[in-house]
Amino acid sequence: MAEAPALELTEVTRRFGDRAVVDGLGFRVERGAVFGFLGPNGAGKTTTLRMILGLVAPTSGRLDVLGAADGRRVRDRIGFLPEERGLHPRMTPLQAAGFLGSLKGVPAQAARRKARTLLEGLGLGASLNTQIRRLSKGMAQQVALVCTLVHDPDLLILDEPFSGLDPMHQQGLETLIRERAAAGATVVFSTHVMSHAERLCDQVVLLARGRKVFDGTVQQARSRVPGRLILEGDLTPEVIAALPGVAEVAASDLPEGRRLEVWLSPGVEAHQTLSAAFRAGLPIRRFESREPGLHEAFLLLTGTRADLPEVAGA
Amino acid sequence: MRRLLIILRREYLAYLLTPGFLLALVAFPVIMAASIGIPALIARQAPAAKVAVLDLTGLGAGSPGNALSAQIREGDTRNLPSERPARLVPLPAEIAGARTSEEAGHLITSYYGAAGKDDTRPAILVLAGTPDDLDARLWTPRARLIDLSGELEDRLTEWLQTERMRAAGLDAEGIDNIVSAQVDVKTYSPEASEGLVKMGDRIPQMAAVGVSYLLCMMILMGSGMISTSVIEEKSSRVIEVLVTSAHPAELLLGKVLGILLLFLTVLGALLGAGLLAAGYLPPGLTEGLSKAPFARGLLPWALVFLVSGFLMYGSLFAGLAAFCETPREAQSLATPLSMVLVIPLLLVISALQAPDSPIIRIAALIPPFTPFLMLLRVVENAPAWEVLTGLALMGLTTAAAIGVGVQAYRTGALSQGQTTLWSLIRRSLTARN
Repeated sequence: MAEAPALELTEVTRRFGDRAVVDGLGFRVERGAVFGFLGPNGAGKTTTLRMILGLVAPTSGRLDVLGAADGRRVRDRIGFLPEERGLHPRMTPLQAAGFLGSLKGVPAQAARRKARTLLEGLGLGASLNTQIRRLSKGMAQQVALVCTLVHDPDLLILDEPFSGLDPMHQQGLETLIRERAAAGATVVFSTHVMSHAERLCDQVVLLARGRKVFDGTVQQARSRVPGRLILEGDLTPEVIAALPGVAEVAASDLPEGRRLEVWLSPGVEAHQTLSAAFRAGLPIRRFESREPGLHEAFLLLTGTRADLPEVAGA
Repeated sequence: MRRLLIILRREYLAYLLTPGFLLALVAFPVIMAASIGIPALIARQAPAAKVAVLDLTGLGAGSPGNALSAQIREGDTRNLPSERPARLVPLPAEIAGARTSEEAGHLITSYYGAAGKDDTRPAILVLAGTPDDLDARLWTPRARLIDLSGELEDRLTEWLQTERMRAAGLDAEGIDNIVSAQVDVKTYSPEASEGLVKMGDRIPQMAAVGVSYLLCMMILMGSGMISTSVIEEKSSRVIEVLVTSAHPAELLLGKVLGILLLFLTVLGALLGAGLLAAGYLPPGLTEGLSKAPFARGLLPWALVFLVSGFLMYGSLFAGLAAFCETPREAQSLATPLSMVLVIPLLLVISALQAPDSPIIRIAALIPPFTPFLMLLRVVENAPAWEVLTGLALMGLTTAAAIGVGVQAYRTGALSQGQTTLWSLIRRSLTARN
């Protein structure tokens, strides 16, 4: 028998007045997965996270959070990091960890002990007893993350955790997320920084205007975006457009010959088109295959970039 | 319950361990002592009032001016023991020639006018007319009422009464007999500890009034602390983490109870200091004061009404603050609620004189007023049904206040950006329970 998922949403809709902020959303997150919840601002990410946490009731649909129909019933097993730091500014990191840990059922002393270890691991050992308001944003964000971890949550929900962090702190946060996932926790985070999702996520869901536009692995998301070839030589756009798998061609002149940017049809591999070109004996001096990234997939699937071809089934 | 206690502890310690609070704790008794001592000190340090008397009655040696001057010379003119008696000074030469009150008025005006801003010139009492129609005018350099006028009025009234009794044929002995006649009506009651009602027997009523004012102070001070705490948590987004860790009711009640406990700690400290200080009072008074808190169940009932009243108002203030983004918004929203507090404070003064009046009895059953008025009814031995009904209605109102506060807290706390108050209220009505 398959293990129950950490999180499952079925046809979840949330309306504010006449406006559906989240519309018929459904996805499933397996236990121990790192799940990226992606979408532009106003896509409904925060509302969805709040429904998972039990702070906002869905207008219709069903949620299953760690086996409970309401996130509030399993609040002690969830760790939540809001977009802003969410800590009492006059508390020290150890006091905050003791306070928030004890709310989650961990004795304050044990929570402080664990926080000390985690903070020292993040290089914040010198700031354990400094008031949070005196820490930099990056340091405070890391303290906030540590406070969400002191009770060893089974489900970790992070709302835009990389926002405002410098590359060093981003790296530290990525490491921490991987460690938690390796320890068996399910990590759900929302972001619009694609590089993090690309490196971290086992699964991503893309949301646009309250609706799901993609659900799958990063690789699957990339494959939705047409591949791209750069060809240079004495070539004409008409000849290249006639090759199999070519969807669109854009040409620019070079001192010698032309540079052609070739968009391939979805599902077509670059080598198929290149093979056909070489078989046809076209005078190609230089070629380059451009692998689409999650960033392009995001722009395409959320409909925020008009210059990419439409994708069937998105 | 566990989470509520954790929140309570945090709120309590967050204020208790601040230098400002500890300073305020020490400063409070000092300010109280100063508020009593400083007016007395000022009165003692104030220069004695100077008075000159111009008597135009033409009554010779038995004139009211002579009689009054003699009393002023004897130092028989002061309202309070701490005040310095008035000092008689010679009549200024500029005024000596006046023949009527009006003429004296003109001369005195010129006399004061010549002095400019110097108001050290004496007050001048002008007496004219006859014993049947005595005209007394007290002139002062500045247009303000002075305490001396009351004393002079009393002395002149005594003189007039004496003159009239003399005119009616009474001799000096007869007049003394009448003037010294006095009946002291003693009040007895089975409720008084020794039958005779003394000041100590009225301490429970006065303490009940004091508790009402104390509760009002606690609510006004506490509302500010609660609002600040909620708004700080909201602006720093701590609230988002807290509502995922505890039920809003636990957060709200923990906050209100934490601040209540803080006030009770202060009261306990002040009560302890008061009991220590009572050791230096005269033995009879010490006994009366130490027994007073326990008379007619005053202390436990006072605690019941302080706690329930603070809880009821504190929950409402916390709920209101949850709708606000800044302390200023919270203050403007809380002002109408604060104004409600004026009503029971006005009623409690009337209740001291007539605690059994129908208006007071009904008002004591109206929940927003109950914590202020019912204690006075309790020390007046109100029927049990009245007290229980008042408590039950207040309990229901407190529960409703907590319910509304929690809903407002949840909706308001999670609101982001520019949101109107009415949209928040509408959302709070449709939010999940």
